[in-house]
Amino acid sequence: MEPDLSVSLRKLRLPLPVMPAAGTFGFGEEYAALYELSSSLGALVTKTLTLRPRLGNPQPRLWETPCGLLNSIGLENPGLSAFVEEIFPRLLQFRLPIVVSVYGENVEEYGELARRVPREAAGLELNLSCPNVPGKPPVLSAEEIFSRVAAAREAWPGELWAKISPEGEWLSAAQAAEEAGADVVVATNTFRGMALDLERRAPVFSQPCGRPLRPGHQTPLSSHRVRALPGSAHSCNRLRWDQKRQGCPGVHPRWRPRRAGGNRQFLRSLGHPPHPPGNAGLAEKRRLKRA
Amino acid sequence: MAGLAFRQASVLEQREVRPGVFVLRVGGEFRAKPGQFFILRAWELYPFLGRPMSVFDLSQDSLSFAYAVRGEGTRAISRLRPGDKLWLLGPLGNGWTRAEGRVALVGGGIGLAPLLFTAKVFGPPLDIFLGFREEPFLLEEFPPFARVHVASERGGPPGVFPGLVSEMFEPHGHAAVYACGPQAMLEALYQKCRRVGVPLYVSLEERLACGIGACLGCTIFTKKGPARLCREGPVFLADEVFHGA
Repeated sequence: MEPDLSVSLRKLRLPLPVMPAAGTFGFGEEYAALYELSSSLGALVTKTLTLRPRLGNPQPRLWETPCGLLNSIGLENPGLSAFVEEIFPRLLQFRLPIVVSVYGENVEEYGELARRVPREAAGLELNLSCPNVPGKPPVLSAEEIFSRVAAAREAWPGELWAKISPEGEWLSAAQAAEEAGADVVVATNTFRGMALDLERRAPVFSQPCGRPLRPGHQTPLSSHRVRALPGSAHSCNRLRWDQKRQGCPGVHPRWRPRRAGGNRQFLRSLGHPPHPPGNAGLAEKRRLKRA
Repeated sequence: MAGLAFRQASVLEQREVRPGVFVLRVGGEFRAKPGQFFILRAWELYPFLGRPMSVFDLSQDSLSFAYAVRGEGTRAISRLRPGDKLWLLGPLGNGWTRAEGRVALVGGGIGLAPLLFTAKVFGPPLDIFLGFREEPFLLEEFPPFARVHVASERGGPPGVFPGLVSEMFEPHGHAAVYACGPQAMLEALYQKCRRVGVPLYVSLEERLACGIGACLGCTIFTKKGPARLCREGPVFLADEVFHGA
């Protein structure tokens, strides 16, 4: 008998407790060639969309670190109109809940995006924390979060997620999102980091972004070794809904799908090499250094 | 891309052809087009990403990669010994399509990696131009029908052009040119090809993460718009990616 692995968010029931974080998975079409999405994922969270198409940042966009990957993609996307007309109809064939991730430059844009996202989407994720948009801060104040979520809430009747930054006053940000009507707080977007090119004596990434240490050179780090937010389990209890404690599996660094049969088994089912859990990465690094 | 998945394979042979340059042969039945690449992973968690390598040679029961050790990933791959296992994802990317008539393949340093398999699939008539900073390597692998012209910045025995391959190479008389190597070499070749109206197809290099077009980490800006190196590339018509002088 197949075990029941389904989980419920506030209004949305996912058949499996696994979904990709926005931006790591494109629109899912590329990975559909690798494995059957409907039997592997609980929902598909799209690449973040903006009102107008965005080219994204110039190269370099990636920098590997010993514990993860710095990226500077810059929200490259075809724009909401092209998504609605060309891509979204194709995604429906996956027979998965589709959560559409959007980013607006201001309150009005969030409202407009929420109005224009197809109502067939299972949910709307507001990206309130992109660390890669030139001139835009990745960490919004609680007031800014509130106004953006409220604008989207007014226009979007369905499941509404607010994706916040792990930096700054993140608990206030989560509470503001909740008060403005978000159903789920997605914890979290990536942490910022910096890579230095010692030969050039300059940062690797030249594209200005968010709120830098020196103008322009911090980029987000995606890592399997980034630990959970300090005290997050305790602090999240101060939010109202049980669902919020679950975090978002695709982005929650401490989440391990053991109840789904174990991490290794899950990764094998996706066609990936089995990654041992825990500190295997460090052990492997030490072994390489000794060799 | 249907049926694409990480596939485990065994190392058959690892040869160090000169210090820091290796040829790795793995067993199995693989398919690929000239200019396509695989992502190799010989570890579990560290380094974080697999390493993309173009197909150096392909036979019925094996697949070869030629590579230079540049960092911890290629170093780990260079330590594989016969019988060791690794994972491969591929073939990835678009690859090269042969033009009618005499064509030229131009490689700079380890940029020669995709040219052997390309030469074998393309067949004659073709000319090969290879440039090296120091001692040439892997010349003996190229099939006898290909006329191999060699340049070395350090000079060499008679027959070796003392200088850059882009100085030695003249595109006249070729229906198309296919090149892989350092950016400066590709741009210099482009200026020469553009002047005489010979199409140049370049295989570009960027850092790759997913390899299948989902993460957009390898996007470059072409004259036609953004293009993913791992899906729309790595081969591009030089006119689309370089600007004329």
